[in-house]
Amino acid sequence: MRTPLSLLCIAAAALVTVGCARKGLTGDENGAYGAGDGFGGAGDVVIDANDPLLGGVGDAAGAFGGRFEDTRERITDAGLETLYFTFDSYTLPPDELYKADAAVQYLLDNPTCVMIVEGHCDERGSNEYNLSLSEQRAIGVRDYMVALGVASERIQTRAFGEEKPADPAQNEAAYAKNRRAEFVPYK
Amino acid sequence: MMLSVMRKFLLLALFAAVCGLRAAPIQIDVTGVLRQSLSLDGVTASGQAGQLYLDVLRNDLLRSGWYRMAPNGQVRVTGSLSGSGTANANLTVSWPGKRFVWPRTANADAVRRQAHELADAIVSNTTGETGMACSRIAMVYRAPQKRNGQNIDDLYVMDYDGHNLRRLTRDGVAIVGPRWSCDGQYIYFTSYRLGYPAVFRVDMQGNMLRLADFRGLSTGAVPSPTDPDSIAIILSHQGNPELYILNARTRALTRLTTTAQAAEASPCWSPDGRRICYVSDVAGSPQLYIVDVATKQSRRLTLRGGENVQPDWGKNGIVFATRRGWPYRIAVIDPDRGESSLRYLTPVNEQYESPSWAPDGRHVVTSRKQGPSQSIWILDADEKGAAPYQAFRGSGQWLNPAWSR
Repeated sequence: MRTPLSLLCIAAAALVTVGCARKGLTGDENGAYGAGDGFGGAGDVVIDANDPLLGGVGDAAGAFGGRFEDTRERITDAGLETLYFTFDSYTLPPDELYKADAAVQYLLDNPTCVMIVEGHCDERGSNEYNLSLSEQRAIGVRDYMVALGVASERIQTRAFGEEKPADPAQNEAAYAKNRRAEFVPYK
Repeated sequence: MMLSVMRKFLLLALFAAVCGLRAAPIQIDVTGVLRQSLSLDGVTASGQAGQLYLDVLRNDLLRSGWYRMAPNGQVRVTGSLSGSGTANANLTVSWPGKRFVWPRTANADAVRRQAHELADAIVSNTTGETGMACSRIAMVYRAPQKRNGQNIDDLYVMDYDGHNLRRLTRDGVAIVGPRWSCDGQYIYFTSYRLGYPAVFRVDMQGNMLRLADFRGLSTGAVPSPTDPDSIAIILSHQGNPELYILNARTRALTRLTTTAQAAEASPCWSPDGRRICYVSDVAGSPQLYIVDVATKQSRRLTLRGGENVQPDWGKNGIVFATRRGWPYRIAVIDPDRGESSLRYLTPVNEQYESPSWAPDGRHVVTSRKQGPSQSIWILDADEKGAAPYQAFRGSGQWLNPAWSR
């Protein structure tokens, strides 16, 4: 069902207004929702303005484009190393911690920069569980970095599950390379 | 007199209950009748459409698992199927003491559909069971190459018998899920089309809607079978992945788990909508848990095995993928009796994943891994059921099938 653009804009504007008001009241707790900026022109997506779920349900950092990659520029030469995990585990291996320490140091040295911690899994296991596991891994790294003094709003997590392997081969060496957290700074 | 009868009845009931407890079978019995004999010999089919009608009907009845073909069967279908474009059906279905007539006309593009409807009508009338002939299967096709290192997936849907394959998404981005709404109108799934995982739903025309997009991870959305506005979902916006119910009407969130050090995944509803089975690694490895939606009390269901994942709850138990040794096998477990009721549906040396119940509560669609390829296979959970068969002969990687409810 195609909706006239004007109707869509009105609906989107109304929702963004509601969302902002709500955000002011409730902070980033499961409150705000909206049609999100980068969504209207997104390819073949059709939005039904009469649908009660228009634009879906989200929060300030989600549906509102509060995601770093939407508003900032990726830094590609930070030289931060990838941190590796053991199978089915989100515990930070002690001998890998220096990589998270380096990421903390980077954010302390560059106070205007922010960082996305990407969590990844190897392909074994269900991809639904691996998606949650990869988020848990990224959150574990973020929590460690916050404990070392980085403001929590400067770090966002992204779960990639088993969907973006560093090495697509199906052997133990590849799996070890795929169970990882990557540090992606933005300015 | 009345009292004595009642007392006798109570005693009998008590006796039956005690016996029932003591004699509780180790294995799950898929309820149903013994196979009935069925005869299609009395059907005369003529013309291309008439022949197609009969072929589809025969295949449906055999696949249903409730019948064996025999001359002069208990269930008899008689009459005529004719037509080269439009099909004219003039059939009578009779079984001991009962019968119904089926006078219908089907346009050329509706012949398969109408034959499926007749098959389901025969199944429900002669066995009391729900048929699966009108059901559909959603699944993910994974391209052999990657884009920016990431999987290229698209969502497809087909009739349960492998016909009418249609592509629903054209993003070519990684997809996790999918799950059906109970009315069969929508498929819920997690897509990376925005660059990060968010929950979308798509209708059968391919219209997409972003449903949930919270800070961190939003995934695993599946609506309740009894209230389509209640959507079980995994969100991490309050700290780490937890199980919630999102009310799509009021947009309220109800949190069901509190495991700061563990990840939850893969929720599925009990058929009565009162409980949710999900995966959690709170005990160190991914295991199945059941939470009561009203009380938010969780308990662990699976106790053994390195991994127990991908649950789907049907009227005959919870089907899931288990790794007890290698590779994954499909097993079914009684949610109330737990490990002692576990029964495998696939052999030890073959790898099947991602089970999903058919609407008949008897068949299970899975993704089977054979070397580099992955394909869609159907299992019969009945202990005397048919051997697994390939539902759809697409080459390449077909995974994460979901059977419509």
